[in-house]
Amino acid sequence: MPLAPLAAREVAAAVGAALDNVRKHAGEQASAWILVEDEPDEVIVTVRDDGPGIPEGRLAQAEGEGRLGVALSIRGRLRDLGGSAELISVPGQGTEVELKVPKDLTQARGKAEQR
Amino acid sequence: MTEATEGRQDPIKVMVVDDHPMWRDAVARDLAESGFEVVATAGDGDQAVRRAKAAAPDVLVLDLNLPAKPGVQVCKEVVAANPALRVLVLSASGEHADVLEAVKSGATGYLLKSASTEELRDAVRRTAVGDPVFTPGLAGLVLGEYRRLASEPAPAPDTDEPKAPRLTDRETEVLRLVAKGLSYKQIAERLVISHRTVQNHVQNTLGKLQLHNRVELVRYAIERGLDDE
Repeated sequence: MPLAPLAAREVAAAVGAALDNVRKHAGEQASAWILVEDEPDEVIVTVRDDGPGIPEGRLAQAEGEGRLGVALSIRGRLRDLGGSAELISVPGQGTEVELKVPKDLTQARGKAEQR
Repeated sequence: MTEATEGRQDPIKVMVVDDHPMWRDAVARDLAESGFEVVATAGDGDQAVRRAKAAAPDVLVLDLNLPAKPGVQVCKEVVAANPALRVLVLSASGEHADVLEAVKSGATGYLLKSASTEELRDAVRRTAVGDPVFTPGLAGLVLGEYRRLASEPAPAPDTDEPKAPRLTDRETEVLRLVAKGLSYKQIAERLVISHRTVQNHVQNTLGKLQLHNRVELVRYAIERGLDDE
């Protein structure tokens, strides 16, 4: 089952933001992969690069300085859809942004309101 | 002795099938210069099947978009005639359904035509020794196929319809990492398992699909009474 148009647009924007991040931070030589998985009740989109990765503590530091613009905009978009965005970075193995979007948007909105 | 033939008595015998002569000749020349023995080339599907039987290559480098007979059909026929023959699909992007069909009928590797000469050499070498050549794109296709099979209604218990193959959690985990572009080495590090174990998991995901495909074909043949012929 495909995503609702609104959700699809938001996911596309989040993927675009993740790719912008790769372009800015992963270095000239880096490659990026996008994996789209159509699960029974959610769609998972992963954007991965093989750049140097984010050193441990760096994310928390950036967050403390209020410099997490892109990560926040990706997370915000997904949260509004009742989904989630996870950032995984292993030194030497690049950075992965995993976006999860529930297919049933009405349920997602209900959940968001309950929070 | 060149790298391609290391550890082997004879050079790996390769056949190149593609309908574009310039491309075909360039691939054949690259492989020959790397120490492989190019035993034949073919420009259409019929020619490919005939020459593969006569020239008996170890590895068939196969384009899928061929005149006279589609590449998928060529793959089915040459593997049926000689199960020891390894097929490496070298295709343009966007032929997803065909690539999956070729892999289910016995191809053990898939490389995009945008690959480098070095990647092709490495892929032919690995195909020859029986290692599946899984690009991230192919891993994604295979994952999708298992999901499709899982979403089909289960066969009724009183029929002899084979159950759809399933991936173990570990196999799914490994395949997802391949699809995200990680190398076997990186996957082994991340999951704290050996390189060989990663390879085995990947190989199993392909093996189960191919076995399922063969069982389905046999069942289909019996149903239609084709087994008497």
